[in-house]
Amino acid sequence: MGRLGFGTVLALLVIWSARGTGADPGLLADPAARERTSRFLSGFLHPNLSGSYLAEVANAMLSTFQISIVALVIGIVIAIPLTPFAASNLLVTRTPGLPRWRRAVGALPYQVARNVLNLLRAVPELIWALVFVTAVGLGPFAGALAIGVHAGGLLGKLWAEQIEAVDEGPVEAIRLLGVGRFGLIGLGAWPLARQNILSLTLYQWECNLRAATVVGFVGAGGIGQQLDVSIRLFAYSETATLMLALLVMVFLADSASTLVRRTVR
Amino acid sequence: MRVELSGGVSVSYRRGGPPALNGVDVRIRSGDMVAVIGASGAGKSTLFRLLTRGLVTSGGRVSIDGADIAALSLSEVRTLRRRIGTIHQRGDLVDGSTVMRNVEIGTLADAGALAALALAVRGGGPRVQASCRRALRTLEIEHLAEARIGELSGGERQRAAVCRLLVQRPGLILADEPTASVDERSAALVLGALRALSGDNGSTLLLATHDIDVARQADRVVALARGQVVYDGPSSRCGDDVVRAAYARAGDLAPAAAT
Repeated sequence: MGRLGFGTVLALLVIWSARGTGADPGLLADPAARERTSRFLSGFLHPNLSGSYLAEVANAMLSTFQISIVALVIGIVIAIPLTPFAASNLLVTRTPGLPRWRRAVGALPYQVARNVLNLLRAVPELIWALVFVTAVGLGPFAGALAIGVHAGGLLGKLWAEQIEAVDEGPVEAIRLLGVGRFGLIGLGAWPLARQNILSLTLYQWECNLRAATVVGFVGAGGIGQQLDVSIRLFAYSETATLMLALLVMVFLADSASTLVRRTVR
Repeated sequence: MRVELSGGVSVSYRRGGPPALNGVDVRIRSGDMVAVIGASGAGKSTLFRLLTRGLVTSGGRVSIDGADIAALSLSEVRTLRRRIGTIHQRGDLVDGSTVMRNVEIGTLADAGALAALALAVRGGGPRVQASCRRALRTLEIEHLAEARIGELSGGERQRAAVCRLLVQRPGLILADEPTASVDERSAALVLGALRALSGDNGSTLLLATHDIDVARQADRVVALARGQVVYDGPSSRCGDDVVRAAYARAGDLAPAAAT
């Protein structure tokens, strides 16, 4: 396909998508919309900073923080048993000269682990939250479960990729001594990939924290639930307080994980 | 362990590609120390990979202690590999772990599946530690037991790799240029320890090298060029002409000692 043809296809794709979403810049300029937007923004000029409300916000923030921690633990618990099977360089059947069926059977746990991780990861946290709100009821535990399950899928994939990326020589040397999958991880892959695995896990915690602010919109606890309520009640000065609080929290989380990374090194 | 390549062993990395080994027949008795020389790409590393079943032949037969290794099952391959010790130019140790831990790994060759996990979690027991310390003393790096591999010099790394072999006590040692790019003292200690393993433990030692002085310390020299054996005989009769011929055929520079 020529460059011109490709450009045409791209332009058509954008136009088609814009029509599908009903994109209309005019709507933003509409007087009524401008009025609503300015009312929303004026909330930021007068955030609700009353003591009682701040205490409420602090509570919601703590709950959000707790959701992110519990979700990380759930994610780790899910990822640990799956990761050893999801790293292709730990496959025992890489020995040449094996019959084809033996190779296929040997690769089976790998396929299963990879697909389970894909499934956990493919479903967004919000959808998992709807599932778990139905299962365990409204509240932060549903949120933690939702984020944790999604995080488990991500962590398993990221860890497995770190294990696949380690220097092949040392792992091969240990494998030649007849050491199995778990021994290879403990003695070879873990010491070699430890730094990166810890760093990715911390990053996942940061992502959990961001996700924990969103799941509240479907009733799974945390600061999101407060945000949802304030927006529905047009209480924009409270919305402003909550969004500022979010900003502070994400900034703190970022600093905290940078600090931990530095001390672990 | 007895190693036998018969029937003209050939290997190609790609189907229809140029052979990395071509019609090789070699017999090595148990406990022999054999140097394998030849230019880069002559087939030395291919030969080694063949013996651990990291490759399969496209022709000929490779047998170890009389058993055709192509016919081994996966578990038999594992058993075979446990009895083979390897050492490479790079040492192949785990960077993030201590010297001690890396040497302790050698004891896993005749241990159960759980031993590896136990070692990873809480290190070796007193018996294991004692034998590792003995090995470290032999190679004069006992003071580095708790240092991480990443902190060592090339020579020290190589000595640590030999320590692993000493505790493993394999029946067959495949040493791929173990003394390349290490200091003189380390090279002497490494060679001495390998030779002692071959002599005292009865390990068969295959030593790939470019260094003719090193090769001449072996009982026997096998020279490879373009995947074929161009010399196979006692090291005492391996003259400069043989060496030059082996390297010249490959269109490569002859090593310093031979020019």
